[in-house]
This record gives sequence, C-alpha cells and structure tokens, in this order.
Amino acid sequence: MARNEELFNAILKGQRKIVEEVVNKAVAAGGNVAEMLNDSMIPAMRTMGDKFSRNEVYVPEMLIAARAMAAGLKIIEPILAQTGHKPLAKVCIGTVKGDLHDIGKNLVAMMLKGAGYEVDDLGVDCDVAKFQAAVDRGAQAVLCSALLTTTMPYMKTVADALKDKGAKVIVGGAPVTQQYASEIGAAGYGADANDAVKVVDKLLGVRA
Amino acid sequence: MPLHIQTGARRTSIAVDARPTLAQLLETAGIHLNLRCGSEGVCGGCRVLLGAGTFRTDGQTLTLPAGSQHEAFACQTHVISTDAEVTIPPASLLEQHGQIVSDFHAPQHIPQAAIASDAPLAAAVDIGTTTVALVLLDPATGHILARASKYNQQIRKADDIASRISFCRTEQEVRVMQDLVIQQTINPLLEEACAAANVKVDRIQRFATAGNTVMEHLFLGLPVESIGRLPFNAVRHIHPACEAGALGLAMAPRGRVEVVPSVAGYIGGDITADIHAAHLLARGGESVLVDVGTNSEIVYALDGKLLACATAAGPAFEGAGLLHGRRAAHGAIEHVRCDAALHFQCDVIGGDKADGICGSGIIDFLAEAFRFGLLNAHGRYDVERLKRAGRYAHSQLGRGHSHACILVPAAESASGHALVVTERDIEQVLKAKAATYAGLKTLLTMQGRSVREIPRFVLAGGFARHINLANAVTLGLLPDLPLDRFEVLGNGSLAGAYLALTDPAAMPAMEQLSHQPEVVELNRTPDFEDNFIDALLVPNLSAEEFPSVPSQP
Repeated sequence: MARNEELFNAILKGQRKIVEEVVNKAVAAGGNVAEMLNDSMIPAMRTMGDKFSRNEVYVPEMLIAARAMAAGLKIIEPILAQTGHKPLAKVCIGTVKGDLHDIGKNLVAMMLKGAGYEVDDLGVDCDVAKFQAAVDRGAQAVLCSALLTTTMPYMKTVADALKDKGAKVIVGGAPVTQQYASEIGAAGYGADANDAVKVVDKLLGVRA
Repeated sequence: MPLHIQTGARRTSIAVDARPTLAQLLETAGIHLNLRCGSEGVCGGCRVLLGAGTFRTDGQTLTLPAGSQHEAFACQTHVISTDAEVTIPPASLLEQHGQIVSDFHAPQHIPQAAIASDAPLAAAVDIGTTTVALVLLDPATGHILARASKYNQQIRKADDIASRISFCRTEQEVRVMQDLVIQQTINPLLEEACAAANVKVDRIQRFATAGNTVMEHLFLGLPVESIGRLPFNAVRHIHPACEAGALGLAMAPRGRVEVVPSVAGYIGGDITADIHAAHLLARGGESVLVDVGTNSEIVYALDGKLLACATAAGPAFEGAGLLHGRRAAHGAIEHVRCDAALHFQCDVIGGDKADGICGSGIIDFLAEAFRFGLLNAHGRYDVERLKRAGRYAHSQLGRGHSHACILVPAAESASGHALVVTERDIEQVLKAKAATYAGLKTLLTMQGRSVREIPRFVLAGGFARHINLANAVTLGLLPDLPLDRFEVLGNGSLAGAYLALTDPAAMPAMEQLSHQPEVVELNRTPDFEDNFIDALLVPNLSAEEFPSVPSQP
C-alpha cells in the first residue's frame, strides 16, 4: 500500500482528530490496517524522531505528534491483535522506584509504539520485581527512567538484578549520562526519546 | 607560568593545573562560578571567554591566539597550556546581588511609636532554595527596622532541591548544609540588619521562619533523604519551638525560634504562610493561589476547603538551562518590548549594559515575539523574518545547534557578545509554563471548575512580583482572566513569618491550616499529561481557553 499522505502529515502535525478520522474511515472501509501502520504511521513517527534528533522539532511538537499517533494506534490495536500482526519486539518501560515523573517516560513509550514495538508500560515507581515480571512476560528490553538525582541510583539496583536475565537494560532521564549508564553496567543509554528508540533497535538487532 | 583571570576590572593569576576543570580550578582560587546544573554542561551558568592559550573544551583541543574571546562552559573546559587567559563575565559569578523580594502585603498594624531602646526585637526569615530574605522588627508594634537578603549559600554545594537532597546522605552532610544556611547566610543577614538598625544582635529575642519542607529540615538539621523519594515523607511537619543557641543563630541564645509548619513533603511551610497571609480561608469564597517557581505550588480554596498540588516546572524561570539566561540580578534583562520592525527594547536591572536575560524578561520576549508573528504557536521562529531583520543567529554552543534570535547585539551587551534566545531555550520555557498551567487546570477540573471562572487569583512568591501579567497570559502561563482578578502577594513566606511574630493568633492558625489541604498527586491524574501537552503551545492548543489572545494569521 502506498503511503497515505493525509495520515502521514496529520501525524507529523500532531492533528489528533484528523488522524482518528482517517484511521476510522480506513477501518470502516475494511482496509489493511497492518499496511497502514507500516507504510504511513510508523514512517511518520520515525520521520518525527529523526527531525527531533536534528533539532528540527522540539519536545512540544514531538509530544503532540506522539499523542496523535497514539490516538490512531488505539483504534487499530484490537484489529491488529485479531489479525495476528507481529510487532518488532516486546519491550517494557517504567520510572524507577521513588520516581513519579513520567512525562519523559511516556514520550519514550509512545515513540517506541510509534516505531512498531509492543510496549509493556509499567507506569511509575517500579521496583525490581515489576521489571522482572515484565521480562517474564517476554520483554526483551527493559527501559528505566529517572528524573531525579535522588531516584537515579535505583537504576543500578535494576541493572544488577536483571544481569544475565536475557533482557537488555536501557537507562535514560535528565540526570542520566552515558558515563553513568556504563558505570552501572546498563546495556544502553538513551540521550533523548528518539535516541532511546535507536538504542533499542541496535541492541535488539532490529533494522528500522 | 600562570592562568590570568579577568573579572570586571580585577585581574588575578593562579597556577595552572590541567587535571581539574577550569571551574574547579577557579573554585580553589576562591572564584565561585554559577554551577547550577551541577557541572553537567547544560545550564550555561559558568560561561567564560577563553583568550590566548590552549584549552580542551567539549572534547576538543583549541589553541587560541591573543585577543580571542571564545565562549565556553568552565565546567567542561580544561586549561592545557601553562600560560592562558580567561575572562569571566559578571553574570557567571555566583556572588551577584540578587533581586530578592522582601516586600509583602500583610496587615501591618504599625503605630510607628518610638521603640524603647531596650525593647526586645525579632527576626522574620524566608528561607528560599535560592534566596533568603530577612526583616528585623519590633514584634510589639510590627514596625520594621531593617531588611536584608542574600543568596542561600547552600547553592555553593548544590543548586536545586533534588541535588541538595542527594547531597545530604549522611548526618555530617546535613550539618554542612545547616551550617551553610545558618552560619553563612542567616547570621550574616542578622548582623547586617542589626548594623543597619544600629542595635546589637542579642536584642533579638524571637525568630520565625518559613521555607519549603527541605529548607526547613536543613535549617533544623533534620535528614531530608525521604523527601526526595516516593511517598515524599518528611521527618515531621510541625516543629516544636526551640532555643536560638541550639542552632547557633546570631541572636540572644535563649531566644525562641519558631518554624511555620508544612503541609506535605513538597508543600512546605512557605505555602502554609502564603495561604495564611493571603487570607485564603479567612476570606471565604473561591480562590486560587499559585507560587510559581522551580516547583510551582497551587492551592485551591472554596469555602474553607483547601486542595493543593505541586508541579515540577524546572528552573527555566530562574534563567537556568537557557543559553544566556541568568538569575534576576544586576545586568539581567527583566523586561522586553518589541515592535513590528522587530526592534527590541530591553530594561536591564541596574540600568547598565545587559549580560543575560532572567525569567520575567524571557516571558516578555516570548509574548511579544508571538504577538508580532516572529514566533509561532509551537515556539518556533519565522527564520526568514529573523534573517531579514538582521536578528538571526545560529547557536552552536553546548549540546547541538539551534536557531536563535539576537535580542541584544554584540556591541550593546556587557560581554561584547550578542545575547540570544534559542529555540532550545524556548522549549525549556514552554515546558515550565505548561507544567504550571496544566497543574492548575487539572486541579480545577477535578473540582468541576474551569480556570476562567476563578474570581480571585493570588500570585505568591518573588518571581510573580516581577512578571508582566498580560504577557504571562499571552504566553499561556497564567489563565486568561481579567487582570484585576490577579492579586500579587509578594513574599508570602516572609509575610507568614512576620505574622507569626506580630500576631499571637497566627502560629496556631497556621498550625491548624497545615492539616487542612487535601494533597492531589498530579501524576496520578490521567488528565494532567493531556493538559500538559495542550499547554506546550502558545498560548494553548485549546485556544478557546485564551479568548483575549489573538490567534496568529
């Protein structure tokens, strides 16, 4: 299927209502939603991510676009599940124990979904047991977020506990640096939301 | 061969050592730079100009000829050559005399009677994360004898609340912080105020203070670790009165020290004081109080019922994280006006040449730039127009690059470098204003109220004292209300401490009210994120909430 320009552009511009209309119309007409996802929606979010990396768009526009994407995904997710559509891989994400700041985490989650991953969003204040349970449910990557220097040390606890459990631990958040990620033995570090997607792609060997 | 350092008209020389960063090198020489991001290379507070010499900065080695003025962050720079030149702009020095709000509107029953020469005196103190303000008064009459203020010296160790909590892992580290706020900040202020009033410090028999929960804990030497993590519990919220001698305060050793009680881990005694000083309960009816800051606290009052929440706005309104941002102090642009030809007119604190822009200035700039179509609703410049007006700059300093608008050309700035506002700066400000507005909207929506229905809107805290309200509405920081519904309280925290000393009913009333607010966790409220995203636009994605702000063509 060719790219649906209207849908592609509506996601880039973050026009949530238009995204919903176009997706609903396509669903009602019995269109192939998996193709729509792969050919129009995911490319739109990947394009946004690349623009973000090049400083052509900033967090406000990213969040608005991601929210429009999420609105479209919400409509097609049940249909995709029925048709046995396979995501790129399954990953989980949460803010670490003690940390309630989830806007950054939510953006990363939306970007990952927008990139074609199945995302097990564990919410805020996640302890090791919560991350472990998600790995047991099949998560191949564990993304930990912390916004505070007071909660960041818990990332080491997670990295230590999940060592050799088969899932890659990736860390991010305002106070986190590549150096810190290396120090605590995390498999990866996401400098921003788009970088996080690229790191997951790389660590899981997914070719976007 | 030494490192030559130029700060203003002063020139000093120190020995070179390539191992520490330039910021650390200067620190050991007693030159304290503004390292508010904790030397992460993001806030721009320690901007210096590198002259002749070889340096390693941002991972690159540079050899500069004599007369160079290469901008760099001192925390990311090492001096390699044994002979080198560095110029430090005044804005990068920590010890700036800040513009600190120590005025407030409180019922001052001041009969102005002559004060008996031996009458006991009292000190009211607002302990802010950034600034500390003090008034010396006669508690019997309420008469204020002197005022004094300075930066909270804890800034030397850690700038924001979270990093101060992180710093205090042991009892000893808590003592370091306690010492910085009492010995290095409050005692010098007590002495300064007493000198101004020509009295001895031991005439001060009473002391009352309010601050956020962490500041109050560190003042009392209590551990703060648990306040930094869920469920954000403080050691205690009501503090028994104690003796001044036990804390080492420069006043009568047996003098009584009182601390205004806090509501929750992140809703401190400063907010209790705000609520009391603004008569939020006493006046009845419906009102909102907002204290805009790094953490914005929001209180909703309806007929004696109180609801409170806090929202993390980040330090952009204090100028941090902005390329040429800085605190409100001498040399900061505090107000900006613009015209259709993109001529910017800047008011600079102190009246000299500008060396940076503070929070109130950036609000004006963004509102004006939006009004004249230079900035779109997403916070992006009309780059072509900037170029035509000769205002375009491309910022390459620090992480990445960004379009920028030249606010003050090089020839007119204090440093000789153009002062610019980058799109990355704008993003920081939009996130800060969105967090505040979204917190407000979420709290009110939960009560079935709309932001535009609020009859009385109290703005507490030093920052709100200086902002242009109309511009704050245009930006979408404050709700679109008729401007006469806003009431600027000033330093409500100081007002609460003042009342605790002059009105015997005040402390019991504040203790009572500190139990009352129901605390709302915004992150547990699904609407918050939606409201936050809407509020990232200028003025808001839901333009109908801002009918008085003309939309752009």
